[in-house]
Amino acid sequence: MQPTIIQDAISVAAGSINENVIVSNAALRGLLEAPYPSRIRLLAVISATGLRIDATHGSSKYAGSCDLRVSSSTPDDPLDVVNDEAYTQAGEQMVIRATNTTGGAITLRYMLILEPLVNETWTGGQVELPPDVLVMQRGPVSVADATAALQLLDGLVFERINVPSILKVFMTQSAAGILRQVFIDQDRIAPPSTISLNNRVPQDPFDMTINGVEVPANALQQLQVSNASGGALNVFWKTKNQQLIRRN
Amino acid sequence: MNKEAEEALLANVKSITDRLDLVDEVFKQLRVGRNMVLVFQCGHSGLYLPGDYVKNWGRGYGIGLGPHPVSEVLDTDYHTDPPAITPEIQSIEQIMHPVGNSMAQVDYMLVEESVAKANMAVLASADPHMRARAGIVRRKQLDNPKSRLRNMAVAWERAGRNLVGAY
Repeated sequence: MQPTIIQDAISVAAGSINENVIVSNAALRGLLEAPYPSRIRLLAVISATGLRIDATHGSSKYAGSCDLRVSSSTPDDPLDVVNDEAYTQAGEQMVIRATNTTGGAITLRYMLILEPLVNETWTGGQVELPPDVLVMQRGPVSVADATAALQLLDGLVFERINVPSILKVFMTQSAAGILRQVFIDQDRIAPPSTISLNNRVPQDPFDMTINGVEVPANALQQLQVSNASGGALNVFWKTKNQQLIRRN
Repeated sequence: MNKEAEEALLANVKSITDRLDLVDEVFKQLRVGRNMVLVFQCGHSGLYLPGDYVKNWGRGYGIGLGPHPVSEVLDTDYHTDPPAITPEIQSIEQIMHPVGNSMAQVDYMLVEESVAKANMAVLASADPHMRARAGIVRRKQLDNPKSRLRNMAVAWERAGRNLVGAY
C-alpha cells in the first residue's frame, strides 16, 4: 500500500479559529478520514509568531496547543516534525485545529503523512496499534527578570497523563540566562541547567535536554525555568510523552 | 562644538590660509557625523531597524526567528489566498493576504537621525499582537494590484455583511 500525503498552505484569519484546516481546502475533503490503519506524521511551520495548532485522530489528541517554527518555506523533514508517532485506525477523522490570536492573517504550512501499517491482504476492520506519543510545544514564552520558578506546563492538556509514559523534553532560549529543572510530582529529576541557544521552537534531536524519564500514571509533570540575567528572556520548549499503554 | 563656534573657527582658519579647498574638505568631513545615527536596514522593505538590533538579537528583537539576525519586518504572501469568509468572521478587517516575517538580510548603515525616525519599522516588541503592523500591511495590500483583497469585499457584501467603514 502507498502512503497518503496531504500538503497545504492555508491562511488563518486574524483573531480567529479554524476548526479543521483540512476541510478548508475543498480538494482535500476526500482525505479527511484515514483510509487504512496508519502511522501519522505531522509537520508544520507558520509565517509569523501567533498561530497555534491542535491535532487529533478520532477523539484522541496527539498534539496539544503547539506553537510552530517561523519559516517562509515549507516544513523541513524531519526538523519541523510536530509528532510522527501517533497511530490511527481506518476511518478515524483527521483534524488540525488552528488558532490565530494576532491582528493579522498568518500562513500555516503543513504536511500530514499517513503511512499504512497493513498490506494488500488487509480486509478492513481494526488492527492492534502501538500507543501514541503525546506532544506539546510552546514558545516564545516570556520569562521576566528575577523569575525563580515559572511552571511552564501549568494547566496544559498533557500536564498529567492517565497512563504511564516516558518523557523527553527539548528546550531552547532566545538569549543566554535561562535555567531549567524538572520535577515529577515532588521528585526533582533534573537540577537547574542551561539549555540550547537557538531562539526558535526546539527541534528533535538537536535541542534535547531531558530523556528517558519514567512518569507514572496521573503524576504531575513540572518543567520549571528561572531567569536571573537582568532582563526578560524568552524560552521555547517541547515535551514528548511516549505512552506505555494504548488507551483505545 | 556648537554651530557658532564651528563657524568662528572656520572663518579664522580661512583667514590664515589660501588653501580654501582643503579647509572646505576637512570641515565637510567633520559634518558627516552630525545628526547621523547607525541603523540596520531591512534588505527587503528598506525600513530601518535600531542600531542595537544585532547586539540585542534574541533579547529585544527577533524573538523566535532563529539564532542568526535577519529582518523581523512583516511582508505579504500574495501567493496564498486570503482566508475564506466564514460565519465566524466578525469583521472584514480580519481578512487579508497572510503576512510573515521577511527574514531578509539586514545591513549596517549611517543615516540622518530624522530620516531614520521617519523610516523606522514598527518592532514586534512594541506591537506584540501585530495589530499596528497588520493595519499597515493591509493598507499596502489594498493598493497592490496583485491583491485579491478588494474582491473579498464583494464577497463580504454578497454574504450580507455591512461594509460601512471597512475601508
